[in-house]
Amino acid sequence: MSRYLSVYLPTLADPSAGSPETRAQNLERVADWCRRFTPLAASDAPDGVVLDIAGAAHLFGGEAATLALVESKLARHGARAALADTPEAAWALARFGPQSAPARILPAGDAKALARAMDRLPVAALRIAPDAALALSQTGLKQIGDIALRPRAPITARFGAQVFARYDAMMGAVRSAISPRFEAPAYVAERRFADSVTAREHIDATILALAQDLSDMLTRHHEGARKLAAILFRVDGAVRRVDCATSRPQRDPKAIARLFREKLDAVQASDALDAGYGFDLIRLAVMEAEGLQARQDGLGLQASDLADDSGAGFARAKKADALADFLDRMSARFGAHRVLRFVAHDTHIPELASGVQPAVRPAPNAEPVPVEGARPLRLFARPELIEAIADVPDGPPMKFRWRRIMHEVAAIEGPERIAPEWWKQEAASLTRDYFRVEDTHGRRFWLFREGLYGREAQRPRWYVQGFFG
Amino acid sequence: MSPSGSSEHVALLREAISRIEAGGGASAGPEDAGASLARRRAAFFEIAPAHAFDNAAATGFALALASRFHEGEGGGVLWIAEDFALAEWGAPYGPGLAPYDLGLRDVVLMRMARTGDVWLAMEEAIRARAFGAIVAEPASLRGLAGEDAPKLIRRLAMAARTAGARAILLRPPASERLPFLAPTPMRFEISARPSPRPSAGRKPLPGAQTWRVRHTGPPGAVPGLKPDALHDFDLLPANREEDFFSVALSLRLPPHARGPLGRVA
Repeated sequence: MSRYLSVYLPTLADPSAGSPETRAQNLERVADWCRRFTPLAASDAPDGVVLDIAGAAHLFGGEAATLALVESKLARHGARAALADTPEAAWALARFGPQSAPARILPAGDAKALARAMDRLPVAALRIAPDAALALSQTGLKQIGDIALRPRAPITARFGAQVFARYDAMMGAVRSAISPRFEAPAYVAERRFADSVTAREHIDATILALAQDLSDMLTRHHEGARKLAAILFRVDGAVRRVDCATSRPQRDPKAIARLFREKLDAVQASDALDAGYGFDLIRLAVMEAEGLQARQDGLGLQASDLADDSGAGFARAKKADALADFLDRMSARFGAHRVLRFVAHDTHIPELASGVQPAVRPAPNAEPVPVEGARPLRLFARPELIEAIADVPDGPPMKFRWRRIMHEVAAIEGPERIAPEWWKQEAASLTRDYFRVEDTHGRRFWLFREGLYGREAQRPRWYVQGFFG
Repeated sequence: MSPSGSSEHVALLREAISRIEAGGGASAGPEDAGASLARRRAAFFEIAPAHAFDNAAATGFALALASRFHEGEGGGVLWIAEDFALAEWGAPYGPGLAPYDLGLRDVVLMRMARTGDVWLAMEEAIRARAFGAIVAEPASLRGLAGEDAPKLIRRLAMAARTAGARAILLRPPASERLPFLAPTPMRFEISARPSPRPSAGRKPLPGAQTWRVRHTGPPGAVPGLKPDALHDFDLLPANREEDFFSVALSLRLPPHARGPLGRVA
């Protein structure tokens, strides 16, 4: 069962606090800060945050102590918090509930207490449109209790379906949920510090210790981590998050710690870590886990390798491990977008037929689309315009000028005609005729003429798109 | 020890070091089996295009070499390239790897923003011992902070020898005036080689991949190659016994050829 802590922050909604963008950013920062209490923290624009503290309140001395702690820490924002079984009820209590903090904590699973508390609140606590709330008040329906037992049809007909939809959500008759800033992790380990830590070696040591804790959890469940996040909470409320991904399920604490060391090196180099006055909470979370039996495919290792008694199988497995470790470390250091593997796409357009994706992502099973003609070793992402001379407008080139040098064609193969993908709406390109060309020095180019002469273009343009080795 | 004795000792040490760097053991003679094996298992290749427009040919030669290393022991090919080099000369194209007998899954591409990152990644890859071959393609031959390029490449070559890795430095076309830097005999200048042409008639089809290779290493370092002479090699030669890769580097040939498929219009 969920327990929702809604925090009302009136100063954040004050127009004098800055532009709407600034206020939204401040609210996101507060929501990030609140993640020290639970990973399930969401901003509740424009003036609050909501946390699901089920299973986490005991870490802070219970629900009342957690509520008091949140209020005291966010006192400069005028925080007022309330706790209930539904986010709507907690929202209503935080804004319209009694002054006494204990009265804003509703007991868990007590539907009668929830109904009693809500009945006394004004209809605006339903979080309906202000016009609807005003209209309800003007008809004498001033409190939620006034509408609770009345026939629904007339009220719905006059004030809209929103009124009872909100009421049902508030009372838990309709299931509702919050949208946390970040997805809930599969496994979490964290350390809190009485004195904040700033030294890099202490941070590294803490991450290693947390990785060990996570490793124990993962081992129990026969899983390994594919995506991890280290979240560092600064004493002044700022939160730093560092994400890492692995190319295969991983639960070796030293390997995990090594990944974050690489990543923190890169983050620190860009001054993005900025320990400031130090971190008082460091959390390591497994965001995505997989069964550890699943191994990386491609580049060598098969299940049979592990069963192979020969030295070759073992050496292959060892090499595959070294490869996965290398890809993980390099992805952490330079970014996953810089360590890539090739993937095939189902298209005949040359520049789209082959792409790349981060090597730490699982390899797709798609095979290259079979092509008739030869394909170059190097390809320009954007073909370069050339000047070509041909005997006839739709004939093969005799000479072409590229990068200020005239190349005389000595051997040629083509054309290979590639039509645009007319079945796709966005396809507005022209037909291309490709030629494999060798100049008098033996250099091999991949040229194309864009547009069919007389039908698609009066003066077709020529491009060089790639080179053969 | 007398001063003269000391200088003799230093000379002997220098000689031993140069032999080690040349790919042989401290006691290796010229081209014995041990030296050949050491060169095959641990080698640092420096490949330069003879002209800027020969960059694609040099790339093809480097990849043909890498493909054979991959065939030998597996592990795939790591291609580390600087963004600027890829923008200037095109990025590796997946379907174009097939003639080199490499599948899409056999190649990992690292795109680096700076030359320094290329060196760092290359060094890490050498130490990782995870790849059949490592191809590094920087956009310049700038070194790292506090370490000039010759010193850096010397260190990388030593690291490759220690780790038993096969590393190939594909020099940028703009560095054609700079001398070769690798302290190993495996230094080649590559240019494209024209296909055989009929004396008359219509234009022929372009032939298969073929290169003109100039070996700049010491005499006898690579069997069959004379230093500074031009040698012609094909990806799939008609006479397989005389192939550069199989004879000079003891690397076997890919199993199939890819023939011309189209016709001139």
